[in-house]
Amino acid sequence: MKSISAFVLALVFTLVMVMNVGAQSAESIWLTTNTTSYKTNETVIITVNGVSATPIQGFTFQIRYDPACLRPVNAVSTIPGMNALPLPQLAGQADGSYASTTPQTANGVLAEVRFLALKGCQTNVILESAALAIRNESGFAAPVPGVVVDQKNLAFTIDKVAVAAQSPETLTGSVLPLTPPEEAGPNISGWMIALAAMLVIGLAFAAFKLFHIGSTAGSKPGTSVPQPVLQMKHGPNAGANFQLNKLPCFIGRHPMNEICLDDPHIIDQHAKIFAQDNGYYLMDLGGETFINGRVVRRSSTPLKSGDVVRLGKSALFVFGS
Amino acid sequence: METATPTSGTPVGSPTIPATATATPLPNGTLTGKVLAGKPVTVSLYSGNTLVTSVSADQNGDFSLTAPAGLYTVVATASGFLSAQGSANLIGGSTSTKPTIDLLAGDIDANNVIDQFDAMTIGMNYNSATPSAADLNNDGVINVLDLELLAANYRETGPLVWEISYP
Repeated sequence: MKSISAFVLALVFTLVMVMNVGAQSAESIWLTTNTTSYKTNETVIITVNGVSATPIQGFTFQIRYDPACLRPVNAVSTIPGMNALPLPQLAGQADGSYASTTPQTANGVLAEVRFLALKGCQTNVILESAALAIRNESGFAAPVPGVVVDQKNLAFTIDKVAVAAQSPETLTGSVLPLTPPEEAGPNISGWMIALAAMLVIGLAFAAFKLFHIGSTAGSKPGTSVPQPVLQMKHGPNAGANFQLNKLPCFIGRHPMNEICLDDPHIIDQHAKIFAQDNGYYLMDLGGETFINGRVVRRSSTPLKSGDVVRLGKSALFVFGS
Repeated sequence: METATPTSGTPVGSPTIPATATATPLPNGTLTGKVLAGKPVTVSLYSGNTLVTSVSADQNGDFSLTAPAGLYTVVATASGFLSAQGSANLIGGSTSTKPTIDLLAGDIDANNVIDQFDAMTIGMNYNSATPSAADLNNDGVINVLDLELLAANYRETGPLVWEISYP
């Protein structure tokens, strides 16, 4: 009798141990939320959770949402050392990635994702894809194998009753902006198209008159557009803002340039920014020049607000107009 | 019953070549072009899956390859960049020129897509020098400048199509 009891106890113990081991090795990612009912203008908070027996050095998630109902604002991770990786967003998908230079424990909240409730609606958010990542022996990010994506879908009810617009919260952790790209308006009816067309024609006529008068008065092209600004983000003069009051504006290492950047990888006269046809252009003058990562070689490229320009190896600025 | 046993290395049914005959080598053709990337570029010619020849482009991205006349696949690669691939018809005694092409920075793990894992590789190795594929601007340190380059090409896939060249 004793031996049977001992056998049963051993069996139970073994089963419990197996179950525990199974639970600990179950790498998974899932979504949660504290509440599924919100009012218009309220902040909808979705939590991305993850568990991994292996310490992680990164994670990524892609959450599908209805852009007519929700607008993503940001994500925040409070995992120590986990840094946000800002990447371009798609309409309808909040795409977040974080990475750390050192391994971190993943056992619960990976990040909180905030959306703004735009209007009264019933809507779902779906965890389209997600991964936990390690740094492999070669130094590259690699997925933690066997991660299961649970609880992919959350349903929300947004009341059309609007609350006052909420002031931004003070967030603790690494904040990742999830600003969606600008979209064209939905379902524009015929009369709206006609109205818009009339408006465009009127504006074009006004612009033509303005430009024409400006030209005959001897003004420089482009004087009707606002003064552009270069925000130095990296390299020489990092943190400085240059208002481009005089165009063309020459940039280079030589002190005679309008913007002089003392950097060995910048040539004496590296690039120039000039105005033409109510727009701005950057011309490479023989140095190493990139706009949004694309090479510009001895040619002119239109500049638009937000373009990231790199000169040489370290000088990086954002163009604003 | 006798069975035909092909000689090793000789295709079955090949005509017998007289001992006095000498094979005339095909005349060489030349392929030139320019590949732009922020890092060293290698341009290779393939016949099917067989590498025929490869060369490093110079600092300006210019390259010149010489190979027997024929139709090849030409591939341009740079560490951390999406590769470019096209065809090249080399004609004996003449030079063909490929159009200039920009390789796109960001395919750090060389899987032909610039994705979150490439970005995470930058984040995991921030302020270090390795892996060198993540140092997209080749300045010796992996940092926000490399992430900016990657972000500009995020979600792009390769290999990039390298237009057909004409002699």
